[in-house]
Amino acid sequence: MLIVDDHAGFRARARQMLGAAGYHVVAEAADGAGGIGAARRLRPGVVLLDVQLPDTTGFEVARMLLAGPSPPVVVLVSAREAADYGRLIERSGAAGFLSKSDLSARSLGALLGQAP
Amino acid sequence: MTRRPVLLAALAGAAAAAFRPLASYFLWPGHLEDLNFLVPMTAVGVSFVAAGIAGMVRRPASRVGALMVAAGLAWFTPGIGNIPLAIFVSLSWQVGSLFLVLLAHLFVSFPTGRLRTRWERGVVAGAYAWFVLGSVADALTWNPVWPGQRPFEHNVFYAFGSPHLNDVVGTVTTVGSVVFAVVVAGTVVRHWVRASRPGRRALAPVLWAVAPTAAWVILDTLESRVLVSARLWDAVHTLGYLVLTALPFGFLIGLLRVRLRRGAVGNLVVELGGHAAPPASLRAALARALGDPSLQILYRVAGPGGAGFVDDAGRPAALPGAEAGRSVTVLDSDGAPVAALVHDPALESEPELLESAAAAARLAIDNERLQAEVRSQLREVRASRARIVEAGDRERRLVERNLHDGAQQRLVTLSMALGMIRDRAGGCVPAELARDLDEAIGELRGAIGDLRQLARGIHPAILTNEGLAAALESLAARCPVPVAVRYDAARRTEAAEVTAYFVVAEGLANVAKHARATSATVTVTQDGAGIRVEVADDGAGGVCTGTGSGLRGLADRVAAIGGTFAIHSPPGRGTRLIAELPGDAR
Repeated sequence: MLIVDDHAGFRARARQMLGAAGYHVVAEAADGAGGIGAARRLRPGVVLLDVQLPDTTGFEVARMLLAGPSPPVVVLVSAREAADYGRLIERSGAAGFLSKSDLSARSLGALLGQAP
Repeated sequence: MTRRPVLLAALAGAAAAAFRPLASYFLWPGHLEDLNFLVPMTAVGVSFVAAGIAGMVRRPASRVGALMVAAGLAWFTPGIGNIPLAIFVSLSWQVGSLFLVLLAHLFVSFPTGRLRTRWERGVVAGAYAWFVLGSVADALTWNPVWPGQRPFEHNVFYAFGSPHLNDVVGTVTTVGSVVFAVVVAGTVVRHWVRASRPGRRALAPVLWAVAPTAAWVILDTLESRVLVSARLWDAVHTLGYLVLTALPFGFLIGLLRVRLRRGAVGNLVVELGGHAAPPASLRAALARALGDPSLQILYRVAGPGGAGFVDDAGRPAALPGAEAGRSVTVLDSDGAPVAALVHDPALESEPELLESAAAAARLAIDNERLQAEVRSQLREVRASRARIVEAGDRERRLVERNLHDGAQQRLVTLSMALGMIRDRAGGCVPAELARDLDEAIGELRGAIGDLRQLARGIHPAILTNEGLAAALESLAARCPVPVAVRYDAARRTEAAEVTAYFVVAEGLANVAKHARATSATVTVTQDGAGIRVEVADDGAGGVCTGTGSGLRGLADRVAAIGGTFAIHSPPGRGTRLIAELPGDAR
């Protein structure tokens, strides 16, 4: 799994939490460009992608990741709620959206439809 | 006043009595006994001088009067040949054409007597240069010889040459003079074609005179070159003298027309008197009085960036530069400019007319200027109100963004940390502690939810991300009453979209709180350049515009971007909020 978020605190907590639940976090990136680079290099199965990034938006990064060969499963996360983004989430092609306050190994697993 | 005609008659009588004796000193050598020749010749010069003096007296601003006097005097200059000295005789042979050059100058510079364009200056300077060159060349090469020649009747300037050379010089000067006559006539016609209505009125007498005058000049110049019958020459000369005698009065009439038009100023006073004139009629009345339908009035008002000119609607307007083909006359009051008339350049030749028209309209102009000032201030207040709203929106967007990036992120991370602590602790903590931890997590989630709500109220992120249609859908989705949204408009300016969002947000909040409604509709439609937003419910109605600071604030916000806001709420028959918002925030 790859975590892309500009908040180091969130990345650390998410890595700790998901790692404890059995997810293998291969890398973290703090912005869109770093995220795309890491995804091309490491080919993660899942990308946990923040919507608001310093250099671009998560929607844009998701489109680029999904356009490549053997694309990962993209899960968008944000401190905001899904309602704040409307149809942008659907249109991005991401597998789903999780509000950060709802993020847990269980909710992620439910979204991915599989056990960790 | 009554003595003047008598005086003039006496002068004319004295001049007539002195004519014969004086003629021998002033007039043309060799023709002193021929009255058929002398009288018309003298009439031409006298009419130029007389009309010129009249023009100088009546229209001192124009140089045309002085030019006419100069032409009249030039007409008489060959008379110096009567003085029996070779130098005067030789000069008298050369100065004859000076009259024609001054005539060209007059035609080209009428009615101001000033040369304005490079072309005009070129034509007149060329004519003077041609005259000097031709005279010098002729003086140097002509050696007249005839039977019975007296000793002083020879050319003192003669230097070299032969009859043949002098013939060539004569032919070249003749061709040049004909070309100049045609060019001058063309220039006058071009003036006429390009002139505006007031300009044409002054040019009319001159336009009619230019063709016969040019024809006469050409025939007269060709006289010695072309063989025609003597009787034809007599006819040409007689006609020519008639035209030349009448010509100065044509110039004079053109000049005086300006004076005659001052009567129009009297009408202006009557028209503007009594009642305050609306702006359009003040402009129209002044345009009529000045005979310039293109007239514009600009007013000087104090503005936020210092004093400047505005039009009658209060819109800022710059004075046109010289290259725009318009003239500007600034009207002063106590030394300070109060207004400017932007008019046809032809009116510049009539400063008295402009002055008296402006004086007659002074009160109306002052009145109009004050109104223009109020309109200009109103525009400025509207613009600044819209700017304040826009600045407020920018601030709110920033605050929302900061909340999201700061407090919200920290609280979310904190909630994740607490969740992990709870998971790790598993069953190895006392039940009481586990319960407290669960409560704390629940409390924290509540706080995160509250903060989201607050951030959304400050500025809806979805509006920036997705536009008005999506933002309204999300508002509708959160409303406890079922809401149908119909959106049928293109994207608008941010100020209009944010305002529309808050109208719908406030409207739906009222539906949820007070209306006891079972359903509501939100409709956004294109309305010319702007949008029309309507929020309607089937609830209790009876909402008053004055009640609730929410609605009052909403009405202010809509007005600030130049829109209108209305509430229809008859008791028992539902409520409709209608806002019409310009797409352009001005």
